[in-house]
Amino acid sequence: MKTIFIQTLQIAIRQGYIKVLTIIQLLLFTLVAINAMISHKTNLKSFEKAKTTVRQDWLNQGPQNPHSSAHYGYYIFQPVEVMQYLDNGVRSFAGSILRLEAHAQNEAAFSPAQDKTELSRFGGMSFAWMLQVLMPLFIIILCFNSINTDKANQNLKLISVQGINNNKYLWGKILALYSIVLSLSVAGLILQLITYAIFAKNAPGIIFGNTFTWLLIYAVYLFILTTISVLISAWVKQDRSSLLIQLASWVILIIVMPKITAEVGVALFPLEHKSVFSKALKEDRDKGIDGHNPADTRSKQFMDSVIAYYKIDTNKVKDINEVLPVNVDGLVMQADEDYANIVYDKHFKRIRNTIENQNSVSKYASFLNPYFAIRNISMNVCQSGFNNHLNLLSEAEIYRRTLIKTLNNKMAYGGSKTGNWDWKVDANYWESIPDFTYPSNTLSQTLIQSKTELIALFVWLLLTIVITNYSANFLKVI
Amino acid sequence: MMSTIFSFELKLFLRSYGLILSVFIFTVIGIFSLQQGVTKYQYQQTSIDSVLENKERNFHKVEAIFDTLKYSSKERNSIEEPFVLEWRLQDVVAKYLSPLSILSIGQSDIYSNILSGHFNGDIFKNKYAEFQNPETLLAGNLDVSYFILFLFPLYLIALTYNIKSADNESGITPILNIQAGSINKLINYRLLFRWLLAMIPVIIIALVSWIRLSSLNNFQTIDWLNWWGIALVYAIFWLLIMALLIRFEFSSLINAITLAGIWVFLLIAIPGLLNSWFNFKYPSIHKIEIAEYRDFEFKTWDQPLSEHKTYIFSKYPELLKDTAKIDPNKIRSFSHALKVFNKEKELYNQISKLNIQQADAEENSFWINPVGGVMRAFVANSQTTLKHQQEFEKAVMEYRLRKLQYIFKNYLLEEHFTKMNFENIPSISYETKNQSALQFLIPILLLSGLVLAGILYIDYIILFLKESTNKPILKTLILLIITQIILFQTSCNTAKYNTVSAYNKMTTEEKSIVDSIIQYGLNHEALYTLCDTLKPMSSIQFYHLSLLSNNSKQKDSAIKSIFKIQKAINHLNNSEFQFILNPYERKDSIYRNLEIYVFRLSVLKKLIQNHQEFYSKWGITENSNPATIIAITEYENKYDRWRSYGYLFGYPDYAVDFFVQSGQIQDSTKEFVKRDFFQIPVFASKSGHFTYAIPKGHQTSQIDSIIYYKAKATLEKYKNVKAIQNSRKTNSPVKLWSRLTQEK
Repeated sequence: MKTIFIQTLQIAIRQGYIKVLTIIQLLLFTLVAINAMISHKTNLKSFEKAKTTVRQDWLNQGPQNPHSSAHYGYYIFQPVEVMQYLDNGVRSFAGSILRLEAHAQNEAAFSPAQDKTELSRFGGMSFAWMLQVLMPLFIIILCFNSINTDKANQNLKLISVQGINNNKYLWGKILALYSIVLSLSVAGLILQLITYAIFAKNAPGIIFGNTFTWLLIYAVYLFILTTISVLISAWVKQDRSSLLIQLASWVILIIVMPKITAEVGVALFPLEHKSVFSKALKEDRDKGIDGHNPADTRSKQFMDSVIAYYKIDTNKVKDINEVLPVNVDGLVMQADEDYANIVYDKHFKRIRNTIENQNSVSKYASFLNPYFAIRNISMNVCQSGFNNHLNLLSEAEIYRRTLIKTLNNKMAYGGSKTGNWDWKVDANYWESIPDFTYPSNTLSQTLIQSKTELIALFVWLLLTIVITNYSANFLKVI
Repeated sequence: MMSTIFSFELKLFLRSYGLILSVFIFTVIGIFSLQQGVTKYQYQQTSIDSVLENKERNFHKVEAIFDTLKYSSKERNSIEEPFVLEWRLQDVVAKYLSPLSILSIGQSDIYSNILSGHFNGDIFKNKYAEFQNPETLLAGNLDVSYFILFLFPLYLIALTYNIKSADNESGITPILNIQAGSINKLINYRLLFRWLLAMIPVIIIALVSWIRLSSLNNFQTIDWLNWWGIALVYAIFWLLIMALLIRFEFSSLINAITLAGIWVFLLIAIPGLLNSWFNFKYPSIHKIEIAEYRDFEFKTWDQPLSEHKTYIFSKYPELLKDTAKIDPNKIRSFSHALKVFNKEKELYNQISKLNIQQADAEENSFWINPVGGVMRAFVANSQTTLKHQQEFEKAVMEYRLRKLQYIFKNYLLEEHFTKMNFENIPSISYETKNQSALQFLIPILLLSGLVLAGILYIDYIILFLKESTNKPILKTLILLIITQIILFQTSCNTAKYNTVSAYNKMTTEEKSIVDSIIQYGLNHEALYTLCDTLKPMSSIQFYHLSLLSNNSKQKDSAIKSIFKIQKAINHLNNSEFQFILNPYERKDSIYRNLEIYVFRLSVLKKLIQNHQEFYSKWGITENSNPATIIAITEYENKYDRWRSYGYLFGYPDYAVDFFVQSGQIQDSTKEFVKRDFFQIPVFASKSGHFTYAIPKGHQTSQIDSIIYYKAKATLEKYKNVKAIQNSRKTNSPVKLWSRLTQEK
């Protein structure tokens, strides 16, 4: 096997076009590294600045009515994680700004793609994209004739005469070609890391555990592809047929299938129209209490219940609001919020379930196409997938509810009287409200998110190994 | 001829179930892509219809309120107040959806087709935007434009990549060559047929799209034709690419790799790199601005009334005359609404200006991204470009401003906001401008033109070579001149290019081998083959290798040496020079002697022509391989061997005759025939290298003198060039040799 390994390596390295392609790949890796670095730095700077500005604005509100502040609200921005430098995932298509305010659970708005033209749909280049899309093409060019050429020039016959069995021969070939692919990928990653280390002076450092795991998963993906490419070369007699089959497979699996899968997801689990959603939401909300309308029947009932709770005899009291130890407006608004939260949970859950169902098509398609497995795992590990976006939205919503509840409670129990909307809290009150903490998944959490895809990748790995060993038994020397 | 070829290709097609299946599958994918567009269009149209219905319902509700309005103070805040009125109306504006957006979805799934028509609608917080799945957006749309741009070329490549090379590889070409008619025409017709075959799914989809689209409102046949015209331009571009590539006559494998490379380059690499560049150059950063806009919105209301008044009266001085009767709270309300609107507009303009800058920069990049130009042409025709979206958004902003001014002016000046006032609220007037798609196609049209020019040029050269006698004199002369210019350019560059380029591609070890061989050759008699035409052949380097040893290590080492030498010298072969490593017939114990010879092919050709009688007995002709000539020479009987070597080494005929005859006499009489030697100097030595035997006392003949002086001039030239080369420290002998051949 060692001989085959060395010989295959030597032949591949001698090929002029392999050298050219390797140089092109390295050049692209460098360009991608520089571009990703600049974008990452710009995004990080913008994120940090926006985050600080919003916090400062919040702290500098001055004396203010708590409910006005609840309307003033807070902004959450799409966070920038160090691993996103390698894979930007769905970030370009996910909303980047989320406004948190009273009475409404907003969606994240302003996806970067919104400002772009149709040409942005051709896709941008990232290191992950290069490994997912371009590296398979390099593998095809490297491996498409690895076995059938040996058959055609009768080398395989000579090799078999010399006592090298087919199994060793196949594995020698696969491992030799894989070592080239892996070396190039590692070189690419090193280029990315060096660029990051040089330019990202104040940015968070690379997390080596995550990066190594990420590379390891890609190594498995590239191994699967290399093995398949070599196997096709063994199964198909003519090198040009082998090339055509592999190029066609590349187009179908990597270029066309993701689109078809996405469309199938949409067809199977269609998203409801916003107008339908809004109508259903409004209907449910109308059944609740209206925090801003004291004339509302439910608001009146609520007021009565508060009066009963504090055992106030309305016949004896001239102004109930003066007697009540709480500001009922704050309580009513919180009751409105509590009810609205149930309504929002119900309706948004439906939408998110639909989106998750749509995405599950590509998740399970990983068993048919390893590209989906690597794409999804990579996004999750780099915290740039839809799961991370969802996680941010969930955490932000929890923060919003806590924030609004705090402000409503301040309104209710802070010393103001019902109907006194001019009451204001001190300017330093705002410091007592903690800032939003951006969620960041641990490596194990991201891997758990991708468990289906990891299983799929493992199945692919196992399958390729088994098929290689099996194919070795039937490899014809001519 | 065309009908024959089409009929032949059609028969082939009908017999090939694989091909029929591929057309079917490709058509199904196309129909699927059309269906995707239809689904998206219907989804968007349903949204639009739904919100417009709702808008109309609200309008009638408000109208009904006005019908029963008593204008009591209580009612005032429930309908007449501008914000309340707008809240009740829930005004929305929907973008016109072009039926052609079915064919090219573009960004229409990301841009919002519905915007609030509320005067303080806030374009940045669009509650009408549909839910999006980022993963679906990341995957992109498989619409008809994608089908045409990405999949059609691939299908065409699969159908045509080996249209000519397959014939070459299966040995059919010679048979085709002897048929009547031009082989080029034959290939062109076959290519045309296959292109039409690839176009079948496209034509079917075009027809189906006609059926699906023509029933839709606002469908314009001319726009539909324009759209498919763009597709045709693109399809022709790929046809031309194919036509050009097959003229280079590469193997099927190289064709497949080259075409796949062109596809990846045009559709993946260039757009991908440019997108990365544009993302960097025009980043989408509005986070702080959006937060500041919210601050502005909140703080404006609390500004002192005087500031509001100043603002409103400076904007609308005509209101000054009614100052007394205007309610200050209404002024605050108007001022707040207007200031917030203007701030929103300012921020919107800032963002849209940056976006338009990017769109313009992209248009300039179509010269290096021609497929991007085609994509832009498609979406321009379908009215789904960024510019179309911004036209819509700007129209909505203008509408909102007009509405704001109208409602507030009435609210401020009139005692009541009446039904008539309500009915006179301005409506939106928005007309979609058609963008010319042609401007985006110029790069691809120009590129197609260049490819066509390349094809025509190649064809004319071939035609000229074949049929120059039938051509009009002028045409022939022009072609001759062009060809001469090209040949002149080529001749100036070929030798240098071939040798130096081959040298540059060698490994360090190979370079060192060929450098030593050429160095030795130039310093000795091979100079007169390498840099002159005196010697058709020269021996350059002699090897004494243990090829006959029983010791496997010794033998392997010798074979390894030969392998390396042979591989290295093979790189130096070109149309004029050939290097051959030839074994001597005689062996020396465990050793075999081998010699590297260099042949100057044009001189060798003349030599064989001149001595046709001598060489013809072995079937050697002027086109014979030098390796055959040297092998026969070495292994023939000694007199023929001597004669042949004599001719090949460039000795004059009389000297060759003398040498052979002397040998024969010596063999028969056993007496040595006395002789002199004519010495021609080489760089390494004045004698002993380019040397031939002459009869004793022979007077130097004219031919000897010619050889001598010509050789001397070449040697001088070599010395000069070598001195210059040494001073430049570019001391590669191969490069020096290349330089000498340039200065001929």
